[in-house]
Amino acid sequence: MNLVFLKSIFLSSIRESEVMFWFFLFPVLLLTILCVIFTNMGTEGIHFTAAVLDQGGNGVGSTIVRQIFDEISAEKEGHTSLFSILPVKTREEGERFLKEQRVHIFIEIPEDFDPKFSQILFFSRFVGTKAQAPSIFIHQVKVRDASSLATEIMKQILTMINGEAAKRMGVTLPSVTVEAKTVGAVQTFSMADFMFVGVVLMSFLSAGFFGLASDITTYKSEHIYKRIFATPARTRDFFFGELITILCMCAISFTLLYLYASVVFHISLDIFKPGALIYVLLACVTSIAFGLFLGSVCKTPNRAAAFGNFLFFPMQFLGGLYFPVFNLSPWVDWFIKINPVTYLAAGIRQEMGLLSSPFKPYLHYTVPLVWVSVLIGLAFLFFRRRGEEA
Amino acid sequence: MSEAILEVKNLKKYFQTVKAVDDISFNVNRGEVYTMLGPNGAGKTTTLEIIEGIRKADEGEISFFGKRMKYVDRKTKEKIGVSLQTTAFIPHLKVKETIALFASFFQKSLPVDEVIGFVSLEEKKNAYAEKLSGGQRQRLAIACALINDPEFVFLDEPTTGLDPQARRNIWDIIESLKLRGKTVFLTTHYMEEAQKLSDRVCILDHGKIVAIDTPEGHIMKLGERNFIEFSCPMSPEDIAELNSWNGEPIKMEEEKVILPTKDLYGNLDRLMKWANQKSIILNDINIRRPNLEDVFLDKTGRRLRD
Repeated sequence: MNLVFLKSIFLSSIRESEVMFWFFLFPVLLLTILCVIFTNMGTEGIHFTAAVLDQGGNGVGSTIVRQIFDEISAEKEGHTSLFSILPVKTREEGERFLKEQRVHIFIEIPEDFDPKFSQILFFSRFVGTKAQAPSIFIHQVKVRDASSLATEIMKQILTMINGEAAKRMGVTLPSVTVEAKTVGAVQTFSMADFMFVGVVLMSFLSAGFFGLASDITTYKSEHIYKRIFATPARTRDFFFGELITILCMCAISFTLLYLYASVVFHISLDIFKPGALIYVLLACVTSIAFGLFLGSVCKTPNRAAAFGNFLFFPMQFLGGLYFPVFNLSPWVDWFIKINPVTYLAAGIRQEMGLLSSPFKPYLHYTVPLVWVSVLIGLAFLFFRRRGEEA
Repeated sequence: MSEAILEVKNLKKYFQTVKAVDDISFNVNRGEVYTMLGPNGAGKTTTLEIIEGIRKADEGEISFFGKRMKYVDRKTKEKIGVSLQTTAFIPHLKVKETIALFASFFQKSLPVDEVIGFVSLEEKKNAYAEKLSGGQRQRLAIACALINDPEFVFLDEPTTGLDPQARRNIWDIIESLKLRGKTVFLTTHYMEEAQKLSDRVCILDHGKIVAIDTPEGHIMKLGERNFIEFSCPMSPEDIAELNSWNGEPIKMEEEKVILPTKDLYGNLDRLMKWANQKSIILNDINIRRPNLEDVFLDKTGRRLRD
């Protein structure tokens, strides 16, 4: 192992002002911008989707609830409704939609809602005593600010049931209780936790897509490889130096981001969990594999940058780094499903105790590893075929 | 008798239909400065890169330090120093860091400061390589080539694009190497450089060796003649008349006329009378001895810069 080679490559990378900006400063700026935007998001123009499991039958209570849902999901004078209602048939289906982030909340009207509502109505009107109030359950994902927000709004809306009952029956009911349950998430959540994982992955991807690919193509086009390999230098020493450098840069970027996010946004992620660290390492390896591939297939840094951007942006935005990517158009759904970033982001968030992943656990590893194997294989072939040109 | 340190036999390298190196054979003796002279695209760099182990030959054999090989192996690379035509270095490294990096590639190396001193880069040793001038970069490239104290040094067009002062600095380094007993394989398309520095000059054109000899030997083969150069407008009749004087055609470069002559004084006198008779004004009259440029012109019918 040639440590001077490793040191030289590391110094060369770290002294590059663009590297300092894109790998260390930009992720911090991006995290700040995203957190400022998303954690202070107003409600104006917001639209929520609610899955509704209506087991309530045809009694007065259920009828009132359905009318309220019709009311809040109807478009008025060209304004988009606040909620869309998505009926579901089972609780499992509703919970699955919620976990897959197809809906913001899942509302369950239990089977005993109508009898309890009738009972309370009867007692209030004719007996004058109080009975146990009926309940409606709202399931939410606290990891999502939007889900919590939707829950709060829905709670307020459902108090309309009491008003409706009073208007129709001329009685004042004890409030219908709205009970919120959390599905698949920790109780303490901030948008910064979600964004932190996304920005870390973005930073790792940048190191491979632009750092490594740019280094390799620069060395090829400037004939630096040629000069190095006119000496007894070993190819493995060069690649070892490059890979360790990328890993170091990822580690520095990760640490800086974590310190910053901890101090400024008080993130509360379990980043030292072994499973989470394995995903972080897998993300680095995936990024390196893409960098090697781009470096092997492109002749110049400009081509590598163009090809890199062509892959980087769709992979980044359709990989769930900054927003959920479920329930999108079928035209992009296939890309999301083959995108290794999707699985890495979901895997890291799950392991860090942030959000349940909708994917089967083995997919978190296998999809990125298949990409890594294929890309490294292709890179090896291209390096062999084009070795003399370099 | 000189010991051949490098022997190249029937070396061929084709790029699709282009014969970059077309069946060339030569040898380089220990301690000599061997120069490959030729225009751009002649095949000098390709030949060099094959010998350096950067490219693979299609055919041919190389014998380096008495060892026959198809490709230059790692052990041989320990004993050679290479300075490529392009002087790119790993970016954002300082001069001393760059030389130290190259030192790390070899089992044995000279102290970095000693090599920096040899190429006179002491004042720039903490400067970044990309901030150096062309001449300084070239000296750094040579320093990297010398860090392993090689027996055999390849210098591929080390002075191309340099100003006269920087070029002279490089020439001084090459002469110092020669004094230290190093074998230097130099490529250039500057005939004055080849003439000044070389023990032997191999003239290469279109991938083939045109001639190999000492600079004096090449010139001697042109015969005892001089060149009278002047500028003036010439009609076809004038050209035909001057062509008949020595049985050797004159050469034209735009308005410049080159008259080869074995009878310098006779032809000079005749030229003056001819010009006077025709009322022609001869500008920029110059008399010179033949050089390698004339040798190349004689062998190929073209000038080196064509």
